[in-house]
Amino acid sequence: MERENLSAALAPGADCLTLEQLGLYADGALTGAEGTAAAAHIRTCVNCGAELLLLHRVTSTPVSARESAIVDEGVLALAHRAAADARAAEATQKSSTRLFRWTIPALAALMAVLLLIVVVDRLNIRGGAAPPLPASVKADDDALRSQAVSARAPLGDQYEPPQRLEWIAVPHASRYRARLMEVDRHELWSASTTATQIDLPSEVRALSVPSKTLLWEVTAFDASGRQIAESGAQAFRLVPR
Amino acid sequence: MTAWAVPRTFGLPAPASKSRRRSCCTPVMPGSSAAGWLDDQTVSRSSSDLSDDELVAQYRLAPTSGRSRQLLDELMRRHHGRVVAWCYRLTGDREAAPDLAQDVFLKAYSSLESFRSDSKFTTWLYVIARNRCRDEHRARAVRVREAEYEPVDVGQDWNGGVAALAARDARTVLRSLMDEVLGETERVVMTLHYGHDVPLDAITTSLGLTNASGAKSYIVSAKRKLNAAVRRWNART
Repeated sequence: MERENLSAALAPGADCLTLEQLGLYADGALTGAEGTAAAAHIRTCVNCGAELLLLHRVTSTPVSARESAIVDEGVLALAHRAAADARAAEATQKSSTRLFRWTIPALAALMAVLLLIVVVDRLNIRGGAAPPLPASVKADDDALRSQAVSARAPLGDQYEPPQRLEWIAVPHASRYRARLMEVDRHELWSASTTATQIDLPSEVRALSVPSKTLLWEVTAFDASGRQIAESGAQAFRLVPR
Repeated sequence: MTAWAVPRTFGLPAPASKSRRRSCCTPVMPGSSAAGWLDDQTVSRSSSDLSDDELVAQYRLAPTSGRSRQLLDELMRRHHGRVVAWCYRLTGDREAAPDLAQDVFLKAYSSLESFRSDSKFTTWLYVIARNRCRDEHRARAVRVREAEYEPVDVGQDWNGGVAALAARDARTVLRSLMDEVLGETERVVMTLHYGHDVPLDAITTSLGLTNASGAKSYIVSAKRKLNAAVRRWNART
């Protein structure tokens, strides 16, 4: 209660000068009626007088030897902090620059990867699970990928009309069908065999004339008659003499 | 200003005339390495040759320019030691002085636009420092009161008179009795401590009190006198 009473009794009044006004007064910056009124108030006010005395003593008293050490210590502390702040600011700036330097290429690379993924997806070049089997295929059936029949002859330029068509056996194939075609895939002749070659009849061999390219292909079938492989179109030509 | 009227009782010197302004608030730091640090010329000659007001004016012209930082650095470099000394004197706390000085400069940076050139830059800085130190003291006083600690206890025999005063009478009665029974220094010390929240150590340092206990002994003797005077006043009324 004592402290409260003293604080209430000794607090500045409503008519007291503010600290800023006291500063102006001390600097001689309050002039005219304002200055006169301030001087009259300060003359009788213990609060403003005490605050003005404090201002003058704090700002004008020479630094003592004891205070000098304290000031040195404080100034050095501030200098160290300023240097630390400057280093931190510089580090932040460098970090930002480094981040900027690497962020753009990294983002570009990421975008390129994403674009590649999208393109691959569109081209349906996917890994992962195989497509589902057709309903006609049971789970325990032999599931063979459609494969190629490797053609052996005739291929490319020929010096004699070929006697036969030959190819390499395909696993599980029980029958092959061979076709001879014009280059527009118009069928000239076809026949089936269980062997890996088939002789061309003489009338068919007669269709092979110099400089004329003919196509042939072989399709393999398994025992159930299902197509399991094909050779694609192979070409040969009788070289002119 | 022609009529400088200063209460004789506070022993104030005559206020500064315009022609003396430049050196009025500059503490002297004899033999101090801080002074050497302050004199270290790290900015351009042109900046260091400018007055405080000119530095502020140039800063205001282009606060975002590359040179603005240099101008601020020069301003603050000039006054670092001074503000540390003020903060020490206003708090009596050696450890806190650099922190408070840093706060003062941050405040000054952020409110440089409000500086009016009709007062000195150093006075403007002092006002910032005084406000910051008063805030710090008030915050500490709250913590101390929360711990129910009374820094100046004059003993049970002497307490009671002032404490028993009705709040409505306290201001009138105590101010009247202070003029009646207290000496000049006691009045100033009591007013600064209780009315202006200045710590006792700071009052001791700022007023240059050289007795063994500093401001505390003035508070103790003033409170004894006041309590006795209040009891007499109560007996009369």
